Amino acid sequence: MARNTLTIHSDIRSDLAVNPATDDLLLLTNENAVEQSIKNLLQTDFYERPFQPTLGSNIRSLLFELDTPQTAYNLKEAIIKTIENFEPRCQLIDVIIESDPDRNAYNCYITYNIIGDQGEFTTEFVLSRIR
Amino acid sequence: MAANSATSVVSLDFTTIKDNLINYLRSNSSIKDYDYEGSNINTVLDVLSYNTYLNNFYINMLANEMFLDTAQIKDSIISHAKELNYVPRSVQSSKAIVNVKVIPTNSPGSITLNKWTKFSTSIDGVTKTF
Repeated sequence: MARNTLTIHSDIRSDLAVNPATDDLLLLTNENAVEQSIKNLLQTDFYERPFQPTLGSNIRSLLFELDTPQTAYNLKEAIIKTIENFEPRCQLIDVIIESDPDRNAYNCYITYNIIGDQGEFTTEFVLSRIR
Repeated sequence: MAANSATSVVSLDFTTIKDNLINYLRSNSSIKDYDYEGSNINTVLDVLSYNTYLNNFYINMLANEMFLDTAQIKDSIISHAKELNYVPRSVQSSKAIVNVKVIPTNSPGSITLNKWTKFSTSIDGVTKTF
């Protein structure tokens, strides 16, 4: 089945990069826009956004916990809850958290469908505390 | 020009300001993710709305303090009253003129009365401290 090439979702890039020829802002579209949105939500702490104290997740505080299966479970639950609450475009399929104790990090794999788009998308990122 | 492209300028609260900006983008932009809270454009709208809200608050307070009828801060009210040749009074601390008589038991070269030394007296059965 052919992929839907219509632009359903579009967003500006985090680095506000511009097209060198036209000086227009470059845009993220469809699955790239949704993936960026998921990353933004997961990197936002509670009380970080003005007047929206419940927006985001408490993932940052979980990264300071001991590396146990319970922490990985809490991390997974926090990711699921955040996406379900704030990203209505996503239909979550699976969230996998792998502990990487040698790097003091967790590898996260989030698999989801985008409503209105075809196919299954996986976002991968590494969670590690920076201080 | 789109029918609903004019933004409202009477809103004072954060949520309404942000909704106005979103409505403006809805009719004027090729960026479509303004409704989703995780999107970058929504974050930019948050910053713009917060800045507008702070400016609104500041200007509102400033305008209030400019007139005697609406001023809230005491200094502003006194300042406006002075323009009318009136200096408002307020609570003042009590004053006392004290004559201190020292009778030393020896012959000191000098006698020092420490700063902030308290004096107590009783007037009509009420103890007062100066």
